[in-house]
Amino acid sequence: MKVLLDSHRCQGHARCAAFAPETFVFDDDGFSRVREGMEDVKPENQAGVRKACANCPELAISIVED
Amino acid sequence: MTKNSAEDRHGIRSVAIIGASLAGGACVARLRALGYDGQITVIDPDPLAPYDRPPLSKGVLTRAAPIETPRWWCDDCTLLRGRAVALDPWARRIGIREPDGQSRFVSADAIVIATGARPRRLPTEPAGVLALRSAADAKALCDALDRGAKSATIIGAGVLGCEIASSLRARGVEVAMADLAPLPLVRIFGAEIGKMAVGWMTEAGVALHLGVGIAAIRAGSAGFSVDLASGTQLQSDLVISAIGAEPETEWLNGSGIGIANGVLCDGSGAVLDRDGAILPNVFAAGDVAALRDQNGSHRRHEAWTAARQQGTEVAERILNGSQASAPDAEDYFWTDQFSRKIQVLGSVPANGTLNCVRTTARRHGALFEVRDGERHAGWIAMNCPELLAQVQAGLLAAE
Repeated sequence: MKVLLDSHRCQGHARCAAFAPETFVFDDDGFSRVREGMEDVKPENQAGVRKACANCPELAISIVED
Repeated sequence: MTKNSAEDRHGIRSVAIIGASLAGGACVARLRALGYDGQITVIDPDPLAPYDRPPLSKGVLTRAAPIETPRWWCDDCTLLRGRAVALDPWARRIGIREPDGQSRFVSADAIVIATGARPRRLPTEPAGVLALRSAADAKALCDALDRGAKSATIIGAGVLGCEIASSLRARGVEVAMADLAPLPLVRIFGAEIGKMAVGWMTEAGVALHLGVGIAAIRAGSAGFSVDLASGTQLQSDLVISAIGAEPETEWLNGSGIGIANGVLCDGSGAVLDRDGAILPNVFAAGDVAALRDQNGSHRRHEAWTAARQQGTEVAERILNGSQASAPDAEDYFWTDQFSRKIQVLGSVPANGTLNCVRTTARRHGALFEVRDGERHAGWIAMNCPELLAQVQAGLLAAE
């Protein structure tokens, strides 16, 4: 499973940080990006990433299943 | 993902969703994502649906954003233009009036009520007073501004009224606002944010008339007059009513479904009959759904994230049988207005107090912890999404 984040869509709701803080990181302007090396989601992080995807108000997060 | 055969989805071969809303659309998307390959019919009378509502009071009004098919919409369904006018929840049969006046019926193995809400209107409103809920409403307001309206009186100082005020000021429109409440934004964000909002709205040139009732609204040849109980008369080209919304449930009167300010549901969207018993395979989601909370009282969650989550959960319940799942998250709500992004996580009780935990030099950001006496009730982030992110990631705590 891979996770992608469209940073142009991110409006800083920070819901992804609530559900998958190990995968997403916020810059000083409050916009999210996928942490370096975390694009391939480890099994233990997948449930959180799915919740982050489902809860993003801008639908900026997409998941590519293997 | 494994194929979800009819046998392991409890014989559900057809789903009818009333409302091409966010809740309805989230339900369609989740059903398909879970591998459901049966019939899905979505019924909605709005010729412009589906669309997303948050931009209607913001980018759509300022002409920064078009009305477009939202990313949450999954078009792997049959969209039927028509108004649901009756429901037999035991036979799971919906009566529909089509735009040409014809009647038809749709039956389905599972029904999802996602009819949302409509603007509450003052009994004293004359014809021509505008409201904002649908894409057509936003277009009507935009058209009035394009025709040269220079001034507006907004009735209601809630989140929607304040967002409209922000958009109209950005377009150079003179704005007056009236509300019986003593402060703006107070219902969702509490009194302390309300006091700050008085400051930034006044600075932006909004004439606030708070804590005063409306005696009359009169339409004349040169515009409107809103007469306040204090004797003040507000003259303007437009009057916009933004005093809240009421659930779209009249069509369910007499259906046997329990209704009390919304469709009564258990904690995760299973609809109850008038005796409080679950109606099998009838669900509700979004602004119309009054979900039972832990205290046993029913509450509608009028928020974008709640609507999406409820639609998603209902899809899972349809396919997995009737077990309820625990909600994922605290309530989350946000508004963008007057160059400010205000986010609230959790809830702000009427007597809640704010404790400023952190400020940022940039954009005058501030993070507040909301307390209800000794109890932590939530967080409010003003222009500092990065701090809200830290709170949610558990990296920042109250002092």
